Amino acid sequence: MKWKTGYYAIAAVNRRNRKILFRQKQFLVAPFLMPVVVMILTALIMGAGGDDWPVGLVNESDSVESQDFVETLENAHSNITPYFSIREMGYEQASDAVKAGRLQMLIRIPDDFPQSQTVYTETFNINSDMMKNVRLRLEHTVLDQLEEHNELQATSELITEKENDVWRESFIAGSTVLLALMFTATITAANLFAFDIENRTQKEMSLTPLNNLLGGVGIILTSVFMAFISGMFTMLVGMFAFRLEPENLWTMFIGMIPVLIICAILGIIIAHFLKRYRVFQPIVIVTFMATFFGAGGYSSVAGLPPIARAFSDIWAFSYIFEWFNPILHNFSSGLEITQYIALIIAAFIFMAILPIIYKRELLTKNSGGQ
Amino acid sequence: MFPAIKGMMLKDLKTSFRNPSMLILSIIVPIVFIFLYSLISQLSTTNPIVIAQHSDDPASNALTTIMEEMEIEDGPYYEIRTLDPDEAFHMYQNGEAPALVEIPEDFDQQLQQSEPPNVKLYVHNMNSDATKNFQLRLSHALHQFQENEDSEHLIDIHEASSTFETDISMKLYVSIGLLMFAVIYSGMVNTATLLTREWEERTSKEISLSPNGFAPLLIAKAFTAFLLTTVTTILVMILMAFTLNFPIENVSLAVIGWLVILFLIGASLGAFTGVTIKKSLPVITLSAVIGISLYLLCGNESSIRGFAYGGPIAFVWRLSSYLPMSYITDTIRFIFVTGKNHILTSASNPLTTTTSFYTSMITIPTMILLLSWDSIVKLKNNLFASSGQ
Repeated sequence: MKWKTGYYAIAAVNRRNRKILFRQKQFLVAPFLMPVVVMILTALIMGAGGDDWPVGLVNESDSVESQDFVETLENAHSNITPYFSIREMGYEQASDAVKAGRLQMLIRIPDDFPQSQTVYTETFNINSDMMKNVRLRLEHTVLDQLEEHNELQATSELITEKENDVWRESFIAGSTVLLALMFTATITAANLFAFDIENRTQKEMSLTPLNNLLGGVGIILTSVFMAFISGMFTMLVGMFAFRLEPENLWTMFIGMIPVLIICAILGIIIAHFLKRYRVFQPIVIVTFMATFFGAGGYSSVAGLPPIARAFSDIWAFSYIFEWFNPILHNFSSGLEITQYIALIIAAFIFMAILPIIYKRELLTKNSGGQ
Repeated sequence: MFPAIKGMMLKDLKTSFRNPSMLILSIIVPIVFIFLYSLISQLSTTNPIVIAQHSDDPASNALTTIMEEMEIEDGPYYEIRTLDPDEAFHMYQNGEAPALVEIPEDFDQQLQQSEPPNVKLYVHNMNSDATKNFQLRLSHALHQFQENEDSEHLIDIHEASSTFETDISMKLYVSIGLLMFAVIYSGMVNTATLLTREWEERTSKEISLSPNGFAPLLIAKAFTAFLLTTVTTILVMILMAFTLNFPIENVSLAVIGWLVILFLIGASLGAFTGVTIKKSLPVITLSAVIGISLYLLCGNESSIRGFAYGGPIAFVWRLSSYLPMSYITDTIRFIFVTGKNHILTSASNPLTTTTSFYTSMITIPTMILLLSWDSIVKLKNNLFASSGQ
């Protein structure tokens, strides 16, 4: 009968936790708000739309050659969209727009273009990244022009793993779904554990004849449940606003279960050591946001700089982005067996730590001023 | 009055040092974010790649030399991890390398026979941004190769003018945005938690009964928040000097002045949220959300301005252009880039517009005064709340 009592205790704690979360809405703000805010702002600011970069075009030559070049400019394209969104306008207007930063580049084709074979540019060189993007597009176009005329010394051929690229905004949205899952499990567990400390429930639990560890199991259940709700909410926003077309959902969600258990136990450990919301809340929030940007969420780990790759090698969360993003975008149908084993072993290690934390909690002074 | 201010400040500082939660909030959080964010700042410049160079002929070597040497202000375009074909394909296939450039074995031969050889670019195209970046970098390399081999047919691109003599380094651009984030976040969190502490520790009633009146409380809280924010800001600058080459030696009085204004904005926002919510938990969450959002919006306004045409991005840009933090961030950037420290109007600062200048001159004092005034009124009314006692 002991297991049955334990089951009732866990179910009761889980039910109570859910009620706490819905009564104390402040606990829901971070898990539901942060991933969506990060998704919207990052996808819009750093990944808005396609690759079509607005440039001003002033064509002062009415020659066939200049028309030919304008056509090449219009036809230059990346794997998803044209490379330019060309705004043909008068020189003064275009130059003013560049000076005001409303255009990054103005391309002027002079009237003697057939003879000079020169185009002039004006740039709002606000930073090296913007300039790289716009200057290299123009060079790419020049190569296209040479290729059309069979004057190119060496051609290039793009070979991709899948026919269509995953749009940058979809990739960002997919990563924020994974972020929402991990972040919600961690912060919800930490909040519930700290809530028990602050409201002296830990003391009451320590006085029951049952093991106080059951409270921890209840917290993990609630946290994993909330993580799935938050993950699905973030996914819906991504699908609605950022072309996210998630695939292999069952595989992903099942594979994420050990990850979410680990995250929830991690949240309990953090709350056990730091105790107070105001200490661990910002640390957890900012660490997850920074993990998203610096360790595999914004860009795949293989594409990161050496120092970030070295950091990602030891930063466990980056493996989650690396393993689950390909599943989400159907670049892989599931985890490899070694990855499943690694996740399950890690989950068992964390589950072994959990009793130690609850034992320590029993030993800490928790008079709460009484 | 002075002893009361001193007493309050000492109490708050001692509490902060005894219980390091305040210090963790104020210092470690921006440092963690900035450290991890600065890890990806190189992403826009240098892309790791593997090259399968099948032959050691002069033409292949010339192309790989171009790829090794091509660079901008912030660093090289490529981090070439190997030139060995077997290793390159192995690294690409097991996901260690995001892209592979294959130079064919008969590259030189084909060139001599006037057959354009085909350089293949293999990309894991799970992110269109990466595909585009690898494609454009390869085009840059082939453009330079063409220039060396046959410049006669190449259309010459002549940059007639640019806003700055050289492009602003992306590292500097990012670091100023992150500095703005650190000051606003730290100002908000410090001010808010110093105020919410009085309710959470149930000392608000004692303060309201003090014969010294209300002013010492306000002054002491403002000074303590300023001190803690200053410590955070200095530490953040030192960190960025290592991670982003932030030119700490060029911090002038004008920059400090703008940072103080950013602190006042952060502090007034923090005071307002603190006295309105009266609980540190949601206030801290809100500070992190506001801080990171302001970094993304205002820290990048001048770069998104050039492609904000239509759709949601146009709305986002319009919104960020109205926020005075965008103006301040670009003004600080301008001071660092040009060394000009005088009061910057839109006419002398090409990074901002006249509208942005006048909007900011109105919104900065209005925002600080309104939020502060409302906070003081709310604080006065709320201090008498019993907090359950």
